[in-house]
Order: sequence, then structure tokens, then C-alpha cells
Amino acid sequence: MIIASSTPKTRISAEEVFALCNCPVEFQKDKLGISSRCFLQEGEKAIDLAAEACEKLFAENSIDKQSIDCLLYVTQTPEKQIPQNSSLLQDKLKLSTSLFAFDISLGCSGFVYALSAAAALREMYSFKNILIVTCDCYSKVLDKTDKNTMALFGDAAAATLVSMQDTIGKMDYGTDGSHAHSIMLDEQNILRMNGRLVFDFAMKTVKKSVQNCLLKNDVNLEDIDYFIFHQANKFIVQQLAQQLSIPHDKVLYNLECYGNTVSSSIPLVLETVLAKNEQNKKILVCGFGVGLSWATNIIYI
Amino acid sequence: MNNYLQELTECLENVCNKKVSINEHTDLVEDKILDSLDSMVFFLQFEEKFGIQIPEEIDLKEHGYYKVEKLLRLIQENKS
Repeated sequence: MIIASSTPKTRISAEEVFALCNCPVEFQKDKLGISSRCFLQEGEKAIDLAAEACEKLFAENSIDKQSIDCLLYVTQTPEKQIPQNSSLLQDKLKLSTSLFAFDISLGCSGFVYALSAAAALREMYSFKNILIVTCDCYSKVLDKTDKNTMALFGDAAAATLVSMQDTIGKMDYGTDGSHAHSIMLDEQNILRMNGRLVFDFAMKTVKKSVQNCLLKNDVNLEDIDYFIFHQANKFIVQQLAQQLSIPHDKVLYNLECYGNTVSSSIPLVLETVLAKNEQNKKILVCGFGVGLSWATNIIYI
Repeated sequence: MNNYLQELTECLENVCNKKVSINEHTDLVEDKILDSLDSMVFFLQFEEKFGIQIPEEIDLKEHGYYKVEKLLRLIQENKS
């Protein structure tokens, strides 16, 4: 498995966020774990960011684009409603037209769901190179004066290549639409979030999902080498780790310079782990959030 | 009522990981006992400890849930 990521060039500091929404700088850095994040600017497109991540992946790993036989594009901030973004990206990258491609409209859990989909499709169709692209640019739907959201999110894209030899475990998953309104676009297409509901969900449901995933894969908690939770904010991840009695040195973060990048948050952390070129490691990945949706799986490297 | 104040204090100290001093007139956020994230942990523990369900959709500040006075009243009503 290989990953490459891309972020917009414009970086927004905690001080700038404070000026916009009055969220204290110390709170952002210490509690949320975020010192800065990147935002797309007016006129900049999410699909270009996604393409940039893909081109970086191809160039850094000498990948023949025509060898990509499946493309899964995960986004909830699509360039357009119609057509699907996977088609737009296929053209942009000049991938083969014999491409199995579709969009997945999931946010924070999207990458983990896409991994499972990739594993299943690989088995069914013998795909050799599945490209999972995650790209969410929430900056386009934020109320910059709302500290409940403005202080949290950042834009990013990640391109993940899943090949025949990559081992992906059995996913634990779930969906609870009764609380979908806790993270939702309002009538003006602005993102609104009920932090308390999301927190409660994370503490109750996500904890169980991790435990279920371990059971499904016949793996003990202590056998996991790295835990990569969706980077909602540092506080939530710390609380989850505490609830699950996970040693702190096994829990990975990269919020500091990215913020919550939604579907890209897990692959951005995974990228740094894979870059270490370690062998025989088990990495638990757990995505949770908008929907409410959750998914936990184990990647074996 | 004093017992409830003590129990509430213990709950807060558990969340804040430090000694906390409150009275009936304390506002947990205004008086900087809790920040917005700590308050989420607190209310989850409050619900579990006292068996009181806090409504999901309301603005907690607007409905006075950060005021110790209100929390004590809720505990008392629930116990009786």
C-alpha cells in the first residue's frame, strides 16, 4: 500500500482563526491539537487537489497510470453534483477508459469503508491496482464565524494505492441516521455541528466498534502496533484512547498542521507510518463521524 | 443538598483532574471550571452517575445547564 497526499498552499494559523471566530489560540493548540490548517482559496478546485495527490503518487512510485484498474473517489464536497467526480478525475489523470470507477459519499468513515470496498472488489474482479482518492474541502461550507466548526477543519486530498499483496482485515461498521442532523449542511449549505452529540457518539459507539473489530479479526488490543483514529480533534482521540486503555505511544496524530481533513484524515496519518517501511505491523484504522457512520478495520503491513 | 454538591464536585474533579471548588452560584463555563470540550465529558459522566438524561438538541448554555444551581435541582428532583 502506498499513499501520497496534497494540501492547498494557503495556510491558516490559529491566530487567524481566533480573529475570525473568537476561538482562543491556546484552546485550539492545546485541546484541539491544531496549530494551523490549509484552505482552498476562491477559484481553487478540490478536484485539482485530488489530481495533485494522484500525480504525486504516480511520480514518486513510478506507477504506470494505465495499470490503475479501479478508482474509488471518496468525497462529500464534490466539484459538481453531476457528473460523478471519479469520471472527472479519470479524465484529468488520463486513466484508462476501462476503469471501474465510482464515487463514495462518506466523510470521516469514508476511507475505511473504501478500503473494505477495495478488498471486496479486488476479490471479485481481480483488480491489480485500486486507487482510493479521498478529498474533502470543508472550507467551502464553513461559517468562518462559527467556532464549533471553523476551528476544526482543514482541506486535503490523499491518493492510496491498494494492490494485490495488501492485506486488509474484516471491517466492523455501522450507520445511525437518527443522529445525522448532528453534522449537517443547513438551509444555506453551511456546515453545522452539535459537538456534544458527536462526542457522545464517539465515546459510546466508536469504542464498541474497535472492540468488535478486534474480535472479528481475532486480534488482541495489545497486538496492534498503531492506532489511527479519524483526526476529529486531539481531545476526542485522547478520550477514546483512554476509554480503550490504549498506550499513548501507539496512538498517532497529525492534526497539528492539518486539522480535521475528514475522509483524508486517516490516510494522511497512514502515509507517515508507511513511509517508515516497517514490516509485520498491524495498524488499526477507525473512521467515525458524519452520517453518523463508523468503520474500523486492521491493515497488515 | 450538601451531599449532592459534594457528588457534583467529585464528578467535576474526575473530569478536570484537579481540585475544584464550587457553590450553588457557580457557572461551570463562566467561572472557568470547564471548557467546551471538558463540558462534554462532564455531561456524559453526569448522566451516567446521576441517571439523568440531558436533552440532546438544546443549547446547554441557554437552558442553564452550566449553572450548578440547576444541576443540583435536577439531581434532587431525580432522587425524590
